[in-house]
Amino acid sequence: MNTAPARAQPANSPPMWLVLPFFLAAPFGLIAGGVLLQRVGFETFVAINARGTVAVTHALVLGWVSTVMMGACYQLGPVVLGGEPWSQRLVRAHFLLHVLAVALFVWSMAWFNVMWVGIAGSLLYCSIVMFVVNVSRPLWRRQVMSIPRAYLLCSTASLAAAATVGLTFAGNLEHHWFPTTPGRLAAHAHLGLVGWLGLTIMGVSYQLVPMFNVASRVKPRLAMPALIVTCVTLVAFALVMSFDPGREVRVGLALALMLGPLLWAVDQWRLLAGRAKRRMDIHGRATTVSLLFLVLTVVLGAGVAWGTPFGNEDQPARWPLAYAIAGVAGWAGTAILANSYKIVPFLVWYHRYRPLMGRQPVPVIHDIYSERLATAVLILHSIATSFAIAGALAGNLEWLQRGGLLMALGAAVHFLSMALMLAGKSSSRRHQAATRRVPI
Amino acid sequence: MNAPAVANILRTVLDPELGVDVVALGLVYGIDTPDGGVHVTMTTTTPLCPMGEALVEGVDDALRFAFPGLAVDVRVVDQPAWDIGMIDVTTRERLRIR
Repeated sequence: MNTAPARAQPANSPPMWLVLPFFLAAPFGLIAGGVLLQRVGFETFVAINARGTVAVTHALVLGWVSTVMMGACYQLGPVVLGGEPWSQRLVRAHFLLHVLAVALFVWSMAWFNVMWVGIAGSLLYCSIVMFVVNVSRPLWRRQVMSIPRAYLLCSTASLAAAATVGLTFAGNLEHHWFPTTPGRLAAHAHLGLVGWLGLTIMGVSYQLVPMFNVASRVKPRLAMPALIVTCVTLVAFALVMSFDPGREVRVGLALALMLGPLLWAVDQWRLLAGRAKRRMDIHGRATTVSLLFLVLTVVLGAGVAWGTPFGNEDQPARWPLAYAIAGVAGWAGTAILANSYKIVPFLVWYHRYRPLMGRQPVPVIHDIYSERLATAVLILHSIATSFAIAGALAGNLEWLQRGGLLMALGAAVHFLSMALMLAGKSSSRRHQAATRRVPI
Repeated sequence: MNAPAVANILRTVLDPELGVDVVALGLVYGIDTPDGGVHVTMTTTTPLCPMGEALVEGVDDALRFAFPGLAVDVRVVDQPAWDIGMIDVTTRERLRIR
């Protein structure tokens, strides 16, 4: 007998279909990034701001990683940051504008339509302002300072700064206000990569990694030092790099900037090593792969700061390209995969099965998704990213393009995995049986 | 209706991440059964646990479903902080928790 739920909507959690669209739309950003990477030419090894590279980077950063992060902020915010109600209308409007603006921006960069780059950039800026306004409410109102809250305050500020600089660049394409130098591009890119993507991942990990790996006996020691070091050096990096300093200053800034994420990585490694749960699930495995990509990103970043290592003067964008792929698709992208396989199953479980708990058998989160598909996605994404990095480093266009193709394939399997979770057709018999009892 | 009966009901409320009931996990700190009511004192595995709300609501719903008409009061406390040592031995072995 099917018993009616006691409450139609749990108190603090936003409605499932307010948050899920972000997670379902995001794989298309990764597919777009992969397909566009598969189409890039040799010019991508020559200039880091080649139109194909800029299109791929923004498809991955805004279409894939940021879309998931924004959905995760809307989901975790009310629960982790204090239960303040969000403006649901603003969330829906933000989602529609974000998807439209990212698609338009990536298309206009790929085909280099300057007028549309300006229009799409402005729309994108509006959608980011909507997001920042919407998440700022619980962030500022919450009385108790927690580690995730401190990180999210800084990451949303970095997002606003990165978007403002980016909008200026978009306008500069048409109006030529100032020269777009490598240093200025680096300032914009690092406000986005380290400030927005990095700090969000770092802050959320301090909440989720100990919880999912039952590491309650290991206390993170470096959370606040890592945050302070990252924020201070990021501001210094963005300001100084805007004036295109010499090699010594560049290397010094790069070494200082990588210190914060490395401190965080040490903490995360301690949490994973000190976990009580011996068996590592998909979240733990993907987090470990993500940490390895972070180490690679740091090494490549040092090389980029040094200049054109290993004598590739005629193709100076090879190392920066490899660095960008390692940071965005490797570190951030794999961390996003890890958290997607916890947040989406939890959303499905929370809204579909929690009201039935205590009345009839219900599946647990592990039953909601297929571990095999999730592992296949992780393997495909890791191989694709490694191929693309190797292709960029070696100046081998074929490897780079194959990496893009595999990345798109991994994203398609990831979307399929998400769709099966929603349809209740994961590999778990318990989930399928429960789905038969609870019509979708 | 007494404390063991209430505990049996609470064994149907599972932590969705670990797949273990709240009693075996050691999240239930106290059960009180005054006349006409059930009072449960419990905690969550971590402070600001995203699943904490689900567990507390699950406990509340399960008790109201099992004991209709009784006043149900579920209190969440932070202290003492939960630790893996509070999980019962059988469950620790089943989960291969060290």
